Amino acid sequence: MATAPDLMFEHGLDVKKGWFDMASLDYSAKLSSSVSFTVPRGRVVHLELSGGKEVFLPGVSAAHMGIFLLNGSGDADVSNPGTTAGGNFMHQAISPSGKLSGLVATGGYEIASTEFDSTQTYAPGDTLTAGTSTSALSTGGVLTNQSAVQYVNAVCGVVSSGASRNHNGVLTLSFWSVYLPAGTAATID
Amino acid sequence: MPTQQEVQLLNETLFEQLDTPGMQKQAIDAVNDFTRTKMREDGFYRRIMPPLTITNDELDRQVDTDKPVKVVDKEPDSPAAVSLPFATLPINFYIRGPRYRVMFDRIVSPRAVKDVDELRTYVIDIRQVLSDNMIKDMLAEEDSKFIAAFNAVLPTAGATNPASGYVQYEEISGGITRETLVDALKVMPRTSSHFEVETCLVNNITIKELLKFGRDEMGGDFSQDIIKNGWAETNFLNCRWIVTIKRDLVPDDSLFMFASPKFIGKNYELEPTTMYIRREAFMLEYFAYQTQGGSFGHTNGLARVDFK
Repeated sequence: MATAPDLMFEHGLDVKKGWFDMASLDYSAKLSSSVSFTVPRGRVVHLELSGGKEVFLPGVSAAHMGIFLLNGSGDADVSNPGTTAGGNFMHQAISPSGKLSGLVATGGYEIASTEFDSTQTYAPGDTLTAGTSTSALSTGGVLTNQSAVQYVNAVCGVVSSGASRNHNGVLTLSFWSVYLPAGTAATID
Repeated sequence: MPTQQEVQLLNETLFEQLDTPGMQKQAIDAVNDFTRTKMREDGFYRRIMPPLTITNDELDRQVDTDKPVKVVDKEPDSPAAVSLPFATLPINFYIRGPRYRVMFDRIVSPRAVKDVDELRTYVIDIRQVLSDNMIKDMLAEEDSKFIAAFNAVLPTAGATNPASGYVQYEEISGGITRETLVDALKVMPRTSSHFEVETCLVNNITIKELLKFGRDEMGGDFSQDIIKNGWAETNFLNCRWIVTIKRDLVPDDSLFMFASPKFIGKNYELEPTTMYIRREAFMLEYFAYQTQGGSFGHTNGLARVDFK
């Protein structure tokens, strides 16, 4: 059975303000091998060291800086898998290298992302966080305003105009990138 | 080697070109000429799989991405011919040609920034020094990706390559001798494709083992030449030998072997190495970039031996 096609704007970021510029703050790294799903464009990741190398993992937690992916892990400029589902060899890619790139949450951006929990209601000023699951496509790196309490949970955005359908008919959430590391309210008080 | 006066003149010429509207392209071309020459000389990936220039109309459009993709056909296998008695018809096979996709990414150098008034004080050709470093970084990245792909195909000595059904990465005991080198060259032709080794890649430490070969091992005056003058790139054992200093990619006492590039895969160059230069007021910035895509389409033309 053929797999369903994918529209190139179904997942991703529209950066309304603050990008593109030569001085824009972005970051590139490979995805951690512990992530078991294909990470769509627009998901939130953070950086960790694995075996001495920097890798992206979904979501934000603790003091890990949020990064909004411009590329998905399955994008043509990121990966080119050459083994079939049946395990047969088709090719071995020399390029692309597997690196993804994303915008760092401390950069001054207003972003419209397709990768948010659309079952929630969003209002301007809501703080946003993103789940850290490495196996659940439905939550790993997905923006949400649930459990996004400043100074308690890691926060990677503040809602601007909220959720709406964009010119392609895709539901997106508009927000400003900010970053607050997680902590405990009691110690901060 | 240009004199100091010539270097200063070169720098001044670059500034003049950058100052004149519409002349940025000429300034870029001046650096590009140098850049491309160094690329050909230095990267072993490019020497093993020479880049093929690909143009926009040769790319294959995809519905789910607007990123560049090239679909490459592979030679199909076919059932073997058989002997049959009379009044018997051959079996059918439906023609299906395998294909694979080559995808592209970009390699960029770090971006150099400098106040032009500080740049004026250099009596060396600082642009050439920095360009050299940028190109070395880009070549290292190219070669790193190439060897990473090679290692993904042949990750473990003694293991069967699932794509071919043959062991193409072996360990051979006895050090590097005439006998073990010839044994190493048998690994690749043992596969069903029967490819012969065209290019051998070793590092600059491994190659010194060959300097130890006597006249009886190396063959007459050739032994005398290399003990006198050192190893220069040459044909040896009917193979082209490439020596690299990148020991982190090609370990000591390892021999990477490659068949002719037409049996291995494709290395496409969509955007040749280009130097972007911009001057804004008194700040100069420049960096190099290129867009390249490559894949091993067939792995029987790869082999590796570690000498123990």
